[in-house]
Amino acid sequence: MGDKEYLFEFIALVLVIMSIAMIALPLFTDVLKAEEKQKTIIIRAYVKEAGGFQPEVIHVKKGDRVKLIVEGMDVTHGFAIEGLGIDLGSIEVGKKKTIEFVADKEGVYVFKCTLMCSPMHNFMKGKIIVEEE
Amino acid sequence: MINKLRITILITLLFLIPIENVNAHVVSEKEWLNDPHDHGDAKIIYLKAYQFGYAVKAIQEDGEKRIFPDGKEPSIMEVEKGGKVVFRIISADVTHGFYIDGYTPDAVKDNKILIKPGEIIEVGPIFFDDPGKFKLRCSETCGPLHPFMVADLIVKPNTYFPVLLIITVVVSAMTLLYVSRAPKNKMLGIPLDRDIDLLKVRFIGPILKKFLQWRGVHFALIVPNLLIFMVVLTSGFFGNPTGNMNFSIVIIWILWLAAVEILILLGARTWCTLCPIPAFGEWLARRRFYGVHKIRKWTSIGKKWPNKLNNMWIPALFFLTMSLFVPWLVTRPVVTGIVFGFLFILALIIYLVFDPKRNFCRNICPANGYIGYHSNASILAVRSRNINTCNQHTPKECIRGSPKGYGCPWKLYPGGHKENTYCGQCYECLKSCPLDNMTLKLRMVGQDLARIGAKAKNRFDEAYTGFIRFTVAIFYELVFFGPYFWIKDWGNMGIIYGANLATIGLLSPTLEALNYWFKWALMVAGIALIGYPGLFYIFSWISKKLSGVNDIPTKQLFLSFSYALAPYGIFLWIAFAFSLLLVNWSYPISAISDPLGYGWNLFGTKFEWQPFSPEALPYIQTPLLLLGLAIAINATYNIAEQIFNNHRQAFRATFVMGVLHTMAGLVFAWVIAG
Repeated sequence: MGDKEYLFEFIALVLVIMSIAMIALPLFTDVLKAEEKQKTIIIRAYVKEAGGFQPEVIHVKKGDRVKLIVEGMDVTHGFAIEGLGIDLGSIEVGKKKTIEFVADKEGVYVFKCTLMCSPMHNFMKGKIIVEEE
Repeated sequence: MINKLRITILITLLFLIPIENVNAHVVSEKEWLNDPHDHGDAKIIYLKAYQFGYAVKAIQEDGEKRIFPDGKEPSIMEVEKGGKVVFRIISADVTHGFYIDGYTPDAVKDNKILIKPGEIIEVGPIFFDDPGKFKLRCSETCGPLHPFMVADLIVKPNTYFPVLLIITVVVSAMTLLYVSRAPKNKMLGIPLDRDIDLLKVRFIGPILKKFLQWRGVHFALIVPNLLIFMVVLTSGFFGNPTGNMNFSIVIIWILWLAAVEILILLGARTWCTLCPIPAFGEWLARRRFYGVHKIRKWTSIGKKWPNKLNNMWIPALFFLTMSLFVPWLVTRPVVTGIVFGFLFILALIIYLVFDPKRNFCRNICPANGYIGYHSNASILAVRSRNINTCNQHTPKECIRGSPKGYGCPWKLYPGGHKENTYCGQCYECLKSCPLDNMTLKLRMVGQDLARIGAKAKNRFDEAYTGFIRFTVAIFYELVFFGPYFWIKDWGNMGIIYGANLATIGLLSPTLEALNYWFKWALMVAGIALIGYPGLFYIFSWISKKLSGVNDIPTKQLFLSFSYALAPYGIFLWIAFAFSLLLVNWSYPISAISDPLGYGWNLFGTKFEWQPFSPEALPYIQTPLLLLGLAIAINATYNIAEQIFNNHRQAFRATFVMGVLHTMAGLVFAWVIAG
């Protein structure tokens, strides 16, 4: 076997490994998670049976400027934070809605789904905990 | 400290108590059914959208209201041409959408009509001036089976339906008239013994030849697909649980399924050339990606493949089993992931244990069975230019291999083979042949069918592959896009959740749902294994009686004539593939940019769902149906002629079988247009 053929085998091996590397695709969600440090938080909305809001509990520091991106994943959901007077209305699958606010008061704020989405819809809730510096 | 604890307990309690939606005004059924508005002379259809369908609960016409109790809702809505209709819709569960083929073309993107739970939506009045059959479709992802949430609406007079029935009968009559004139070895007027040597065609031929004889061709074709399938596996297990948002589902069950059906007709087993599933085993066994291993030492235990498995039974039954779970398979990413992951692993194991040939592909793979079976109706084939040259050439490099290419991995004698069934088009024989005698041939559909059909001894495996595929094509069109959409809920076991690996538990059915699934399974298996084959046997028996042949058993006619379903089946599957493609083309393109369904837009190819003129579907499917029918009848004649060697007897047998094929065609016509 000539050198050229070994080269071809090697190139082929690299291509195969690159293809298999596609399995690592879910890790790239972490790239998006890195944004959380700047207090940009992605909340993915699944029906409660499949996990509900993810993440369900969000910690922010008092005085932070918080940017929430709510993303519909499986069926149409709603999103509202009662204590803050925020209501994003309906969030369809594949759509994102964004809200920015300043967390100026300490406390626990409950957000929930406002549109019937599954038998366990009424349990579909999460909380934003605003902590002291 | 205590304060913190108290807050924790409070919060925990808060999470346990469901809070009623104070904002949502829940409409009562009564409020919905008592329409306070005056819509004049418009007809009012009271629709209840649910996961996954639309139920017609009441119709109000000329001041008179008919209310349909549960379970008695009409499957098909009917409107007179020129009529005005107001749809008064509520949702029984989650948010749905509303779209009518051809009538609400703008009701996508920003003008989407949403049916939110707790609200009454009135659409219309819509003026129905264009007669025909149209479909209501859900336009907002509402769960796993959302793409199949449809209902039929007929604008009368639906003249196209009777016209299509008449055309179907006329086409079959004309085909029978044609074969009654004893066309020798022809298919619809085109001689079957003629073919084009593709590698000798000017301009394209030399390029194609150089390409196919390049050692890297197989690898180069497989690797992109390997990449795609790796994304399929990972998105199947870890991606969005909702099918139409997930790469695995939309690439496999919209793009791949449709592409394979069309490829079978145009390129025979071209998919098997591209398929990455057995690649790991093959590369490992050969210890080469690209070159030919000279030492000929295989990484494999090398057990002999059991002769008993050397047929199409496992692929056929595997395919049938997948059909029994099809509402899950094509909508739950994790199910698709498990099936394809299983195939990858099984292929590797079989390669390592048994003699390293394409045993997995030949005798296990569920796609192999039908691709192989139908590819005999393909227009493409790998053949030798001159069989005598091959037979006289004793070294037989195409079987044993040469430094330029491996011996046929599909365990065939490429030089002498005359059927596509087990030829995986890996093009090793094109490389190994020292006489340049192997080529690609372009021919008319059904060149080999007559011979294959006539000599089929006890090939029940292939006959049943044909029956299963043929009946399932019509059945799918009926339950996924037709008036009996509610049957698919039985197969779905009434589960409203999508599932990836993390949420696979949501797929556990209740006992009652299992009961429904049994009904579904009995129905699918009953039609495919007993109902249609039984009918086919009866018709074979009649054809035997009518043609007055005594020395050939009915069983032989039954087996031989079943090969006419190879072209017929593939044309119906292509028709079904168009139903998928035209409506859902945007999903696979979007999924390329967002394989996991996480809201990414990597390459900017994200599209909103927008069907591509779905109202034209019946007119696109009609020629496919008619062509399939005509070819099936002509193929039956060619097979009969080959067996009986007598035109009169062959024609009589063809006539009887033609009646059955026409009946099947009429059923399909009813599904798409009536």
